[in-house]
Amino acid sequence: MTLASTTIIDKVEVLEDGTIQVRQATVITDNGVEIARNFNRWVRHPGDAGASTDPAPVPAISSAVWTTPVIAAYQAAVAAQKQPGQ
Amino acid sequence: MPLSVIDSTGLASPLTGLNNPTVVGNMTFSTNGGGINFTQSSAQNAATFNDYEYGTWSPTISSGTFNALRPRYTKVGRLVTVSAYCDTFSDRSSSSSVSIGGLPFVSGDVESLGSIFMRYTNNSVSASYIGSGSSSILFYAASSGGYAPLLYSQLNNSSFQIYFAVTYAATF
Repeated sequence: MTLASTTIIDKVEVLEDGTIQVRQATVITDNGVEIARNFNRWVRHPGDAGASTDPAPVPAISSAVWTTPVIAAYQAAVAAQKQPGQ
Repeated sequence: MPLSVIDSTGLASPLTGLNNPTVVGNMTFSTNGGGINFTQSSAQNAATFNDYEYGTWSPTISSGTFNALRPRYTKVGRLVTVSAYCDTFSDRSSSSSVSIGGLPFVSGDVESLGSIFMRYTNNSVSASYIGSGSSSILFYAASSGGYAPLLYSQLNNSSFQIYFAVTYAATF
């Protein structure tokens, strides 16, 4: 039995407003055969500086998708968001 | 493992018109948007069960630092249930709303409420709240006037803790 653990970004979803949903998988193998896969997720909104330090390929995708107009549109949408009762 | 489909008589059958089929191994939907389609019940898009996933998420805080424990999510179709509990908030003085971000999926076009309990606060928070298009959770108290969010200045003690669970609709 030779167990090994590998962490990869196995899914990146780009939403209509440029928001990026990231899924990171931790894959456990036994002699090269996958025996378990666990997920951790997070979200990066347009302009989120944290995306630049995420694992590949998130930085490249965010750089390509988050143009100045995309970031501006997202920020405008956030500014227009209403709290309960408004 | 290849997909094998066997009907109730034990014989291989075409993929249509199966009667009580048995699937050996995983059934994989390799095409984006593929899933189990209940077209006889309603419109196709709203009647396709196309996702199931569970895992952990990475809560963030809008001011200062904190400690998040056991953050978990389960997604069934477009419904996502998240839970966690948080403590050790460094900001217990600012007047801004406590907002926990980092949800595993952005919420869709509906607002959602969830349950909560906590200790060491003078805000009688009654619900957790996720707005539409958001990846953050806010907390609100019942109020006789305007809506009353939980503020950092209302965390009365370093032992403040908050538990929450919310089910919300993702964008897909």
